[in-house]
Amino acid sequence: MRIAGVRVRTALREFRADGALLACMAVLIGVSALMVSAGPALAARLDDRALRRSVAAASEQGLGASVTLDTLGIDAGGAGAGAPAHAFDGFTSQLLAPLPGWARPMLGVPSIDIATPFMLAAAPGLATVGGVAPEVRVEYADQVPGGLRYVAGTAPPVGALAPNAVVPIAASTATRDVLHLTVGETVALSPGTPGATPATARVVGFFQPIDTTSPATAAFWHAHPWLRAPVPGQGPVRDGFSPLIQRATVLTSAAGLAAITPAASAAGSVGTTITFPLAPGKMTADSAADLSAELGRMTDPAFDNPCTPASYGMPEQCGPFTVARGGLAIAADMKPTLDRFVTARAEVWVVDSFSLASLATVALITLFSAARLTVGRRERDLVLHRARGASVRGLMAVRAVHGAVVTVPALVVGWITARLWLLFGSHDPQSSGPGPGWLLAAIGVAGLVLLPGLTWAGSRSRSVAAAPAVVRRRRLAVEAGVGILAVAAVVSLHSRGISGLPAAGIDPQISLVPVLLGAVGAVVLLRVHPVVLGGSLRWARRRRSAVPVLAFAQARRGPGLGAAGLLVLVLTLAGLVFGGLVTRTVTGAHVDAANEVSGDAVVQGRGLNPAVRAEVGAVAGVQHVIGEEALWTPGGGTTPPVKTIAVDVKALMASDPTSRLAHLLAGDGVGAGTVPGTALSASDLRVVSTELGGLSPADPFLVVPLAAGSDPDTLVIDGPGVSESELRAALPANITYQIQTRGTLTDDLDTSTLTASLDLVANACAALASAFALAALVLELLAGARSRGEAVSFLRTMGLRSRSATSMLIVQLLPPAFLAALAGAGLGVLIPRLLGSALKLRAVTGGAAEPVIRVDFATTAALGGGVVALVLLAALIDSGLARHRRLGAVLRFDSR
Amino acid sequence: MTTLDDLEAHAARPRERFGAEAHIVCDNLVRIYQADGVQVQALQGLDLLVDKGDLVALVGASGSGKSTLLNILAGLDTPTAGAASVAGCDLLTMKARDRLRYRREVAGFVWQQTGRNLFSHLDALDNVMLPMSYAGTRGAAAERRAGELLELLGVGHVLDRHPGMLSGGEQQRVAIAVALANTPDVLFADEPTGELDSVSAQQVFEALRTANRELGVTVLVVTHDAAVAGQVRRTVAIRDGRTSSETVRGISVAGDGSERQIAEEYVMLDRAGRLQLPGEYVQRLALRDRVRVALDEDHVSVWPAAAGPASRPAPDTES
Repeated sequence: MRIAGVRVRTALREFRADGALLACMAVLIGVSALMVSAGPALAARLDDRALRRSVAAASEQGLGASVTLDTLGIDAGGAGAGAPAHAFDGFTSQLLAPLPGWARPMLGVPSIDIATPFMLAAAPGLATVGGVAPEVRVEYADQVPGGLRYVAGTAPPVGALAPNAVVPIAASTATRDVLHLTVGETVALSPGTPGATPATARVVGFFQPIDTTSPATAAFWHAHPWLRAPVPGQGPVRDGFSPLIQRATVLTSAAGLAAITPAASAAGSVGTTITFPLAPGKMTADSAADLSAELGRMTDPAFDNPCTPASYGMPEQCGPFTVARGGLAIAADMKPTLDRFVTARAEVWVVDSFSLASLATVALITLFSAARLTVGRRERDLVLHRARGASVRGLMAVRAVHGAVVTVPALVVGWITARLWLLFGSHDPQSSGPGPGWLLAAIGVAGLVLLPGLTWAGSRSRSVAAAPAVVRRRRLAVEAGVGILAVAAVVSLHSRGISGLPAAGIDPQISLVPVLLGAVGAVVLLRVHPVVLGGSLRWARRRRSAVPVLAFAQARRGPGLGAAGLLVLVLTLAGLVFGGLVTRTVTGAHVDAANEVSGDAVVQGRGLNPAVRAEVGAVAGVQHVIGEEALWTPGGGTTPPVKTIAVDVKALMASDPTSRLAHLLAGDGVGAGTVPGTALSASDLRVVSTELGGLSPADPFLVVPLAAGSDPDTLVIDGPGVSESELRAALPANITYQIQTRGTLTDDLDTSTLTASLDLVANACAALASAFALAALVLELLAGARSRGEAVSFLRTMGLRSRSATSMLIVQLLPPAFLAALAGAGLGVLIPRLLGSALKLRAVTGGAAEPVIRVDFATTAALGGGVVALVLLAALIDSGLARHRRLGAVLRFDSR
Repeated sequence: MTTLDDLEAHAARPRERFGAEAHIVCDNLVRIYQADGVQVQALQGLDLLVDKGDLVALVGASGSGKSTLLNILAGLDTPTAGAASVAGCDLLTMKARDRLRYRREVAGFVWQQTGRNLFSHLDALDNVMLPMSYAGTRGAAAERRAGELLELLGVGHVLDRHPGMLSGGEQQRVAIAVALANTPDVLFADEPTGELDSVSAQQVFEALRTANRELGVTVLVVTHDAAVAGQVRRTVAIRDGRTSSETVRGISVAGDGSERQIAEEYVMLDRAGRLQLPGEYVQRLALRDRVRVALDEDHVSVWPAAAGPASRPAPDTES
């Protein structure tokens, strides 16, 4: 007695017999599931990294969300009662209260900076310039990036001060040296207005900045030059002239600042700035758009006002601060950075949607090829089952079970593998990217439906087959339908553009376009193929070899690869070309942006005297150093001053003897060494572009020779390999310099503008699509291997060598391969034009204008050649498999 | 004079249906299909009647339409025009459900290729049981009947072997058992001995005869094998998609009581009165385009157009 039913045994044995192909389907489904489950999340992680990098870079520049208060007074008790770090905690928390809970951690610990206006300082022994007393500003900064080291005395003590107490202050050693200050010295600070009471301050310590050059500290010290050292400048006009005076900033405690505020207010506005830096580690790419919106809401006047309403004309009370009416302003300096990122991400996802859709289609076609081969190999069994009384529904049910047994575990394994993969390197919080749900469902449905669907198609009676005229009409209708759909999709995309796109996610319309365009390409190919083959056959008949004639004659009966194979080739190549084109455009635009810097490196700052310039010139890799200085030339009468760039002509001539600008400045051109901007071309301006600071060549400006003996404020350096750190090491440590190199600028653009994410998706899709395409081609060839094997074996009985049989297959496949390569490459190049306004790369490239799409014809040709090579590889694999078939077995009529 | 009423009455009178008593009926059967873009008319108005319980051989040259006819009768293909019925089942008007029932319960089929009749991954017993499971017979009853069938056809000893372990003759006999699994009314066999040696072919044909004799199944077998064709009572020849002639074998008892086998070959006359003359006759008398015919008292005579009744005697169409 047999235990299981005969139909169960039959189904099991058929499953075992089709094991290899079903395993192939399982692998395809598993890899596809892995791809759609892990791919978007991995890309989203790279997006997170790019966002954090951008935000961190912007934070180093002091950007964030800032609240400024036109302060009239500070509640000394509230401010000075506790430790300085917590002095204004209540108010800062109050500022963030209207934000939703998820957004608050993204705004980091705020820094508070309160500064009085400059006041005249008076003290015995205080250094003066020409008898004019210096001006001193008192500042409270709760965070000094890099920290301070006190070399004498102490920091201003934390704690409440008695009313009218002396305000403790600390100054930098440079300030001490210039102003001749001593510890314990009392300094009177006068607002300078008649009748105003001066405040009294006492020097309690001197400090030195620990680090002023690192990226994290440079921005702070660049914005606080007076804190580091006194800066000479023009003083207010007295008796008809403005004397040169020294200006310096000294530090005090929160309580000290509160104590001095009433007196300082007489000199002008006491400015309080509370800056909330964004916490890059707490931010995710997925939340960037929402955070930007929240920051925008913060700056809206309708945002919850943290100040107590005041009657008309009276000051408002904002936490511990008494603020002039309307004196509170909130600015979200970081918002443009976030908006740029969100726009760039949407742009990248347009490209990603395209790549992923092409890949998904190639994967589905490969799956279809595998399923068709699985069912096709059992075609005779199908007929036998039908003859023995099996219903189509029953046969479909068996195949549905086979499909489920393959699909469900493969999906689960793919998904679990993706989850495990994502566990590595995961941290909280991170973006998850667009959910893979519907993509997984699509793969699952394809896996479940293909086998029973193809079984149904294969089970139809032969008499059901339509007449040739009907088939021709149907084919025309399908071709017309595909064409109309493709045109409609492209037109719709053109009119819609990028608006309405989610910040990240696969847009169905954009995803549909490459599939439809690929289908159009395949349809055209199927029409062109017989014409090309006819010509090839006529050509081959004039040759002596029989192989091409046989190959082309056989190929004429069918493309060998079938519509599915052609579609795979066209889509794969179009995806590869398009991906390469976008990547090249983006990286090329980054290089262009970097080239807008005047030289390989540019140093800006004060004190670039001959000794410093010599030190810079001695740095490894530096070839030439050109000094430049930005000036303003007074205009006559009502004419505004004209921006003027002074250039070291001798150095420029040494750097570029053919420089037209150098020759003009040297006096052998128009003018007497003074060159108007309008006389210069863009290439002439390359070395002064940094100094122009955004001025376009159309704006009025002058270029003049740098006066002998004057120190430039900018050094333009020629030296492709010059290192930023070595340059910084060569510069004086007590001055803050801004250093830009093309290399670091390109790297920054690459890492902060989602280039990594773009590259990952493009490269991964290219690699996977190529692998899928190879699998699809081999499967397509295997589907026709039986009839081809019979024909070749028959020819071998007449003396055809097996090598010639391989040549025959290759010759047979070359025309469709070449046609597909042409169509795919053409489509890839045309896609940017077809996408129209939906493809924007301005935010990704970081440039001011939309970049010009760069077509690399050499790479495109190489990719086209690669596709042809792929087809040849598939032919060799097929031939290799065919060699294992015995001649007798193949030729035996109706053998299995 | 014929009146309108007479004509109406004539039209309303029940007519005798063609082959009303026959088990298999093909009436003016036409099958046209496309092969490599070429339209092929495989059957061109074929008529055939087979009685219940008969064992009939179909012979004909390659491409004459034998296999097409058999596929249609087995319910594996549908005719383009004409009428065909088997055991009362109209093969043209059958719905999918009826066709399925027909394949399960009415018709069994054996192909020429030994490897095409059996599932290679099932043993002989499972191969026989599979059609039963489709028809709803399962379990011990199916296993018992499958065993009985294999025993009946002389292959009871191979029931646990897979087709790859069987000889060609054994495979074909198992295939006959498979075709008989659901006790069909009719068994169609398409050159079942075509790939076999004479001994195996004899065994297979014996199995067919056993099925016909023991189970009462009507058997229609297509064959090229003269030995096979010579062993059936009736052999129908098909030429160019039509039945052309028929040989009926019987036993004649002589006056002395001795019995001898006789075979009489007939030319087929279709319902429209068309006659297909044997090819050798046509060639020998150079008959072409038009011929002379004459009605005698009990036969019809045919002459070449140039000749006439006076010039030569009428040929006898019986042999």
